[in-house]
Amino acid sequence: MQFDSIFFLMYLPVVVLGYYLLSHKYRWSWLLFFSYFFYGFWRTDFLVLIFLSTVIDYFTGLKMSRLPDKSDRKKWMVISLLFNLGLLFSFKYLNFLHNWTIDVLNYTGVENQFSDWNILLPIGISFYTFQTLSYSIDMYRGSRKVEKHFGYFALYVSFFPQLVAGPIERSTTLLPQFHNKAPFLWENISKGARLIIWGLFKKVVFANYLILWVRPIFNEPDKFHGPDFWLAGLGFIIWIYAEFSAYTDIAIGSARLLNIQLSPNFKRPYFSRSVSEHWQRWHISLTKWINDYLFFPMARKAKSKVASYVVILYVFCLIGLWHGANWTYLFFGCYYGFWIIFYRISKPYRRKFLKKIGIQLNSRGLIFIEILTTFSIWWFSSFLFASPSITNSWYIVTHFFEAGFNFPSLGTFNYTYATIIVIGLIIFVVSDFINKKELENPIDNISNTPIRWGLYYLMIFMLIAFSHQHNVQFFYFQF
Amino acid sequence: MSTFKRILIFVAGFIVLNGAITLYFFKVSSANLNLNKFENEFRKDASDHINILYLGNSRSAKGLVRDTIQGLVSFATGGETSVQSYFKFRHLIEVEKIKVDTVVFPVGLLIPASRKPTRNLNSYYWSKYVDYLELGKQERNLEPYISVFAKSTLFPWYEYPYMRLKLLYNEIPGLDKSIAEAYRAGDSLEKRNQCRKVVNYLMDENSNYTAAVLYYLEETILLCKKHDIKLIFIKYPISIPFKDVAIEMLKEKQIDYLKSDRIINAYINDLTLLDYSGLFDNHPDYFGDMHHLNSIGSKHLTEIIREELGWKYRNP
Repeated sequence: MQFDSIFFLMYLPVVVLGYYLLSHKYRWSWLLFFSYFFYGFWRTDFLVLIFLSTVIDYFTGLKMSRLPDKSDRKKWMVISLLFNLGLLFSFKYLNFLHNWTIDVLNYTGVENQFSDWNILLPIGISFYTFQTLSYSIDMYRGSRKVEKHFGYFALYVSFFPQLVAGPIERSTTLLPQFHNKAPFLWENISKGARLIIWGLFKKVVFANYLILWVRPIFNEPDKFHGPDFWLAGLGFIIWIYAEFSAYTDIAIGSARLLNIQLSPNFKRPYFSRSVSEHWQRWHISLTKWINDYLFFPMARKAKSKVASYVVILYVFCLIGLWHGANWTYLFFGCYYGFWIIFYRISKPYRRKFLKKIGIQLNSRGLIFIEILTTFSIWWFSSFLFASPSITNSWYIVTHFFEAGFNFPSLGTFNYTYATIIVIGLIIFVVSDFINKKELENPIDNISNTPIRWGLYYLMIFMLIAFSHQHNVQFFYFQF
Repeated sequence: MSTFKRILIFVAGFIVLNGAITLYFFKVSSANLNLNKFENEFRKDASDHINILYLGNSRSAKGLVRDTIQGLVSFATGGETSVQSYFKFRHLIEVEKIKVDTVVFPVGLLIPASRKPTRNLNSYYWSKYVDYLELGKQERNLEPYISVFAKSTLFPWYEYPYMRLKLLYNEIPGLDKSIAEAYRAGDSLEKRNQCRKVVNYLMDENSNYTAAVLYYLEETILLCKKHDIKLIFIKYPISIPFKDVAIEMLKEKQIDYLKSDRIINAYINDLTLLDYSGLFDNHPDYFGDMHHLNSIGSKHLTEIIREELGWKYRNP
């Protein structure tokens, strides 16, 4: 079910109302039923995958809880890893590997009778497998208590607000909240609803229109020129932030209605002063997961600087591949890995240089330049991240300075869309800019009630007026 | 103030604002909406028994001089799709119980093909005729139709801001006079360019026939049979450049634009097909733009339709 569909607007009040009307004893079953319903609305057969993943991790968790010795727990953790990663590999990467093998065979002239596979990717598979994996790894490490109640565990895996596109929650933060009897508070209803409005506004009034201009340029770059690509890249990184943060806001807002607090996923990423800071502010739940379960354990074992750089590169390649089975994502990960390494290596030299020319680390000018540099690095990464194939990325990069401007001839270009996009952009950018306290909902920064309420009214009326043109699936669903 | 009270005040404010916007919309809409004008004229002319009911979009409306054929009552509007025409017709005969002897519908290039079953604009007006839930089921995609139904009921004004923006920027080709002017004044290349603009607008991104469009074309025929109403389909005259460009573009998009013709041919014994599409091929001066007649053209066509239908002038 899409968050920006009329069905979700009918579904959510039913879930919330039933949740508070039921006694705490039955709430988990209510939420579990509706979480499966939420996912099954898209495809019922893939519910089996979620259920299997739940069963495997529940039982491996139980087994591990009964074994005091870490080495004894290992085999159960391996079973969980093999199953979850096997699931991920089968549905997400096997297709890619198979088709790539055919390409290689064809290229080398080896005769083969393979036909193209087209395995449908279950929505949100990367999110929920990572979530269950974190539970198994924590159990293996002995850093959490076992969840004995199958229903609560199943709900942890499938909780609808964050099931298909995160935030990737840890069992240590989410499970206790299911166990605690959540009182009904109007404050939560208000906060949750406001976040949902904000998220819907970003998605429906802004992102859904903007992508109509951006996507054709990445899909058919040979029809465009350098300045078109510059604009498309800029459009893409603004769009992806608006769209993904919109999803997160609606997820957090929906959970808040149920008095459940989800983790933040964004903290003004475009105000980052370095690439590594950017990754601490962008898709935070994924970065934390990677840090805790992959990067830090590996980095601790790295004995030399070079080894630690190899670890960085390796981890970022995996982050890239986590996004999808495509060369563009792999290169996107490598690209960032290289930048992180470059920042690390150059740090002492940069500091030395700044000291020499007498610039303070916290001077406004330096902060501005650093933010601009980080932003530009992210902007350039869009040519990998947004392109459907590496051929398109390559075309864009090799024609980056080609003169010409075809953007206005875009079939989807018109001034009506331009007006809607500009209004959306102003509200979105200004809200992020003034959100210096990094509040969950940037509109809360406006202390003047009439202005704040006026803005909410404007957003709601714009949502009603401009939501009918197109339905665009959330980009991160595919991951 | 407690959070609950604040929520209540906010919601009350929203209801008041929505009410005010709705009132304003009705005031502006009833004065400016062409559909209302057509509706008022129809209601003025219509009785509980209509000899010839004349339906369709702007091609129909501009193809006929009103009040010149005795017994014929026009309810042709602008931008109307064939599915909307079907629902309107069904409403008139089954809900309003108006007895109709003969009904005239337009067909032809890009009617009813290559269009969504309903265009999203003016949904409020159409909600009184179109059963959006039935349509959603036919389209096997309930979500957008439930959404249109809910919004046109709760927020009748909801398409108005979008329409205003479109009008402000002159982005509705049917209402953009400069296209017609450029077409009339242009050489053959310019004429083709202007035709491409209009055909592009008339065709959607996924411009193939939807299942519902074909279903309701057939339903129109069956409904007439059920109520013993004589059905006439008219292919209105269109200019040669428009015909050429539309066919080229339909072929480019690999659209089987003859599907509707095949349905009509399958029922040819139950209906009358008047093919005037090439009637004015030698009279480019009869066209106001590429696919609408001007006053001279419509005068000529009215005469031909009148003769064909066997009726006399009401006001000679």
